[in-house]
Amino acid sequence: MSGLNETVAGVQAADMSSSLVPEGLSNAIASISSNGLLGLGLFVLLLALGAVLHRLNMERTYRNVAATTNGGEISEGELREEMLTRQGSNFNAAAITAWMLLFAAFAYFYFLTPEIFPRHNYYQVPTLSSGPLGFATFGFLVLLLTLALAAFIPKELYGYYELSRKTKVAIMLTLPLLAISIVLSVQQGTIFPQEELASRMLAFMALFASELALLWPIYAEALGGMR
Amino acid sequence: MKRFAACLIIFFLLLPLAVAVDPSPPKSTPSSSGGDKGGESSSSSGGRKIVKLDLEDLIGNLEKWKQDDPDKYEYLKKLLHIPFVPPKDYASPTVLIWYPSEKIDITRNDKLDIYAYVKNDNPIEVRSDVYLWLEAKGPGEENFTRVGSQRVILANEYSEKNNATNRDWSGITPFVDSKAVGNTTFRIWFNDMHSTYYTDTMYGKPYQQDDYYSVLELDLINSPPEVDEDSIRVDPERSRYNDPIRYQARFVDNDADIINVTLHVLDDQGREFKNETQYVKSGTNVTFVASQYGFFGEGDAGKNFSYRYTYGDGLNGNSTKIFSGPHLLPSPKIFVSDPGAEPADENRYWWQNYRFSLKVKNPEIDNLRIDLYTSTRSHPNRYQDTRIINNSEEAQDVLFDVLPFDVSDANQSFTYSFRYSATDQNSREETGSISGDKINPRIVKYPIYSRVTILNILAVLLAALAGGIVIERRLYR
Repeated sequence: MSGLNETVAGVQAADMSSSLVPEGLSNAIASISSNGLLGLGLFVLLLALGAVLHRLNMERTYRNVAATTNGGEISEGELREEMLTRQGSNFNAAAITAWMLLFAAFAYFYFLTPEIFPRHNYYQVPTLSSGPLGFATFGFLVLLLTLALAAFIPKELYGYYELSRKTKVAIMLTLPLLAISIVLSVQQGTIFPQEELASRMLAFMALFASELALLWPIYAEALGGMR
Repeated sequence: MKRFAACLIIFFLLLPLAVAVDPSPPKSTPSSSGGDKGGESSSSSGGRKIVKLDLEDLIGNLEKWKQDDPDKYEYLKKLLHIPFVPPKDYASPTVLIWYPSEKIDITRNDKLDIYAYVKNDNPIEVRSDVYLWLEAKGPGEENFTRVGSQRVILANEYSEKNNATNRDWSGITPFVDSKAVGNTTFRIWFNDMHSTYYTDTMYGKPYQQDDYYSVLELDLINSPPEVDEDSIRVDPERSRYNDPIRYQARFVDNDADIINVTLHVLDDQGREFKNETQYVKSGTNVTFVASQYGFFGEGDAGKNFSYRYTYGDGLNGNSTKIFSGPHLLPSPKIFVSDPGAEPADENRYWWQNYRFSLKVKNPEIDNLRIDLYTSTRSHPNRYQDTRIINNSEEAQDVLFDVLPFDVSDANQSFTYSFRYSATDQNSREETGSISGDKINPRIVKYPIYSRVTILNILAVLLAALAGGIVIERRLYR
């Protein structure tokens, strides 16, 4: 009976989600969120694009500075040192946490259950994944694996940009957003092999919205530079 | 003897003349049976006394002389012996073995066609009858023995064209009972009323040309019988002692020899228990029905037997390996019924308990052990638990309340079985696999709102937060 109830609830949730967003968009998100390779590619593409744009932003800044010094020479390293701006310890800690959670949420979304990557997921170790510490163990593993990356990225990304208060708030709001994504992904794990499409889509949107928010300073600078 | 008899007849024909001219007075004959029997008569004619002997008296006298004075008797024989002198131009016939076959290696069952070729160039008026025997000597034998029956060639039975003829011994199997293999020899004995000859000795040296032999030598060979191992079986392998248990096997002998097959039944210690022998034709199935031979009795119930065959064709023997079976079922000791499996919850999650039950009537066995096993694709034949029950006249419900599965069994069907330390009414010691329902596919037993799940998520979030703070303090200042 409870299985039947869960199925009915899933269908109802899917119906509700389809009423909240336009049907075409809903289908597109559902399609993307269920496509593992596409989602993985999109996630990596956003990161890679951010890295490239960040590099271009730095080079453009260097060229502009070099053009205004009228023959006075300044190295790129010196410029980076001059440009480095401290964003405040609370923000930094929040940003590092947000990046760690971004990777954790990504892993929970794609690599927890076998729905998207049937051969590469944590449920391949069913004894551990179904145990009382399964979800936590999985999260800790991801945090450990991405620790270095999460420690490095915020310093590089946010130290060379002027972040408005709104941007900082947006970045810090990714914390609850990523937490929501993780909770929804875990919920998918608890009901596996059943699915709740609405939860999945919501988790997907929270994940990618957070990624965009965390990379937004770079994209914004690049857009400004293009203008 | 014929010649000797002829001499005697001539002798007796002359005897009256000798007596008639004998000037001496007549003597009494050694035969005393004489006068009153009328076998001997005498008459006087002009001073001569004529004694007339009849054949009976003569034979009687000769027998008496032979006993009383054998030396003189032998001397008399020598005096009366007239040696046979064949006609001046007589030549003994030429006799050879004609074997129109290229088969030199023969088996005991091969039917041989051997002929006597006889050429007699004497004129028909000089020819005499020829008597022939085919003689054979098997492997390891010292003497020839006659094969088949005697053949006779009369004087007029030769071809006018070449003065030759032949006689056959067709379809003979002279070595069918031979107990050895090796060289065999054939020759022909013949007698032409004048002399006796053997084809192996009458010629200066052995003769052979084309298919004609003075001495025919063939090799007697043997192919040992073989068993078709795939055909060896005992059926049924598990049965009661008084069931019609059949041992079957198929043996083949390329020489078509009769095969003697002995079944050796071995007990559970591997010792010979019984044996029986049958004689079978090559290529036929040999069947030993245990009940027919009384192999097993009630006391053998519950024992495991094995068996092997020995087989041979009289020349070569062999043995099969040991095959197991039959396994005799013990007599029933318990009665079981109503096996069941009931999940604690109708959702049948892997993390839930199941209640397995079995009704057992055990009137005589103390400490009867009953084991529960479950099987899934992930965990075949998984032992679960054991119950021990004592004897009782009433049927007992044996219950197992266990947690039989783990997460890897999710979404799989399961079966279960009970195994017990006694034989049930089906002569078995287990119930066999009984199908259960499919296990629910859910993997995680904690719902999202459970304390465990919440603590898991909180732990991850807090770890990330702590990591962020620590890294900021260590690396960002």
